[in-house]
Amino acid sequence: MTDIAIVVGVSATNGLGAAIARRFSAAGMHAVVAGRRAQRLTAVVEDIKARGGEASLCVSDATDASALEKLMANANSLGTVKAVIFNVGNNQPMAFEDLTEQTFETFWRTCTLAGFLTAKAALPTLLLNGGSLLFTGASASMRGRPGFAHFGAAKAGLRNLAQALAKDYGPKGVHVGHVVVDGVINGEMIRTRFGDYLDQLGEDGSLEPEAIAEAFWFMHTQPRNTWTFELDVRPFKETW
Amino acid sequence: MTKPVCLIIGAGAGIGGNVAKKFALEGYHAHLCRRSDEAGLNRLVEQINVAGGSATGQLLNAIEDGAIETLVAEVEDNIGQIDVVLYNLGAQIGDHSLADTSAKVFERGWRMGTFGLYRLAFALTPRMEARGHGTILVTSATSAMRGNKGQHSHAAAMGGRRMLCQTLNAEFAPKGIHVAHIVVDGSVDAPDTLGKMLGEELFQELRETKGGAHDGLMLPEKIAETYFHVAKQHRSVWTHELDLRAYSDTAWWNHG
Repeated sequence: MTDIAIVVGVSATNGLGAAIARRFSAAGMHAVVAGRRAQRLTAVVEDIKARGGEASLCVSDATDASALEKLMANANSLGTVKAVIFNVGNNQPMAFEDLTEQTFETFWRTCTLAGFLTAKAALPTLLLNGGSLLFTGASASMRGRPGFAHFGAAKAGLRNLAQALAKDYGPKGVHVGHVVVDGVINGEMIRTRFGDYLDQLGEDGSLEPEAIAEAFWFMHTQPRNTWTFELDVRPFKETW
Repeated sequence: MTKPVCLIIGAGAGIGGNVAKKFALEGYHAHLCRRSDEAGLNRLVEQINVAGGSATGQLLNAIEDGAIETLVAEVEDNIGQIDVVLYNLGAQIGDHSLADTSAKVFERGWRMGTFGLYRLAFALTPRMEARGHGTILVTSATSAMRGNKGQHSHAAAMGGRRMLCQTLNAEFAPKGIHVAHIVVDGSVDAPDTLGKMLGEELFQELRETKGGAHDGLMLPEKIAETYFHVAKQHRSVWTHELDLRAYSDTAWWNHG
């Protein structure tokens, strides 16, 4: 049976989710990419196949428990699920005065609740197979900053969820990990919204998705006598 | 010598010796320093050379005035450019009440835990900065994160070490020097540290009940894999801090 890696939260081919899927498939795993947009998922799958890897897609909304059940059933039918990566996220700075109750809740649904639902859906399988459940964190997981109240509250919630899960499921053989991406990712989401800022950061001033994906892959391959729960990654010139 | 040097300060048969071996087998020259046990040091150096790596070693009392400064200068002059340094001096002395922690003991903990790293950084960063690159790996402990009962000396020393790592990173990362603080949050299967602290009998018992295939003790050769991974990260994605523990162990933030 093929080993399966599920990446929840995949969009653009040059984004982090796709890079993680590419990295795990490059190591011989079948990548199941999940996200809301079929067209984008198709492009990611084709890209992986063109590189000689194995991949398939599952259109799913991570805030919907039944969609995640289907995702897991689908992946379980393809092989042995050994890694689930939760990479769902949405970031848009917003002044507190402009922040509505609805936006606050939307961010919580996307960043926190979806993580909870993914863990719920994935853990029975991971308990059975052994493997990793890895979460993408952000600067906002660690500190609140003006303009990021909604995002910070949501990401910090996700981090504490991951800590609780690590304590609970570590001794049962599931490696729960949290990767704090403490900087700007040189991917499409940022390129589209803040292209000028990316250019300003210059060479190696933003995090390369492929390089971040190495951190996820590395954590996945750690032996269980030496597991990392959390690591941070940032560009060398990032001030913090 | 054309090989870049990986300098290990605190090279016992645990993390230090295994990191030396890993880097030596990946193309570095490892220079191992430890305070005592010349025979043990020679064994480690010999093992690396036999395995096909390149290594040398010396005894070093790192808290002696000028010792680290002289070491850095001599290694650079006589062996080669220090690309990676591991500051791996431990300062764990077991649990002691405050009344049992003398000023002398407390100060010694600080000299090993915090001050030695300052001196290493002071001596080495100008050279690394001039070259535009370098890696400073720092082994740390649960005590850097949390002041547990009886850990007055160790926790103050390691907490200081952690903050120093952060300030060093803030100043030197933009200059191309990667500073990483690695929190070893639990027991390592290391005869020269845990073994000596527990005594031979208890250590063997722990190894049999928790170690080996039980995976309840961190294996230093596996820890070394993580150190190497961190040292090799692309500079657009540097890790400053990560934790390590055995799967069945309780993380520091969940202790009692």
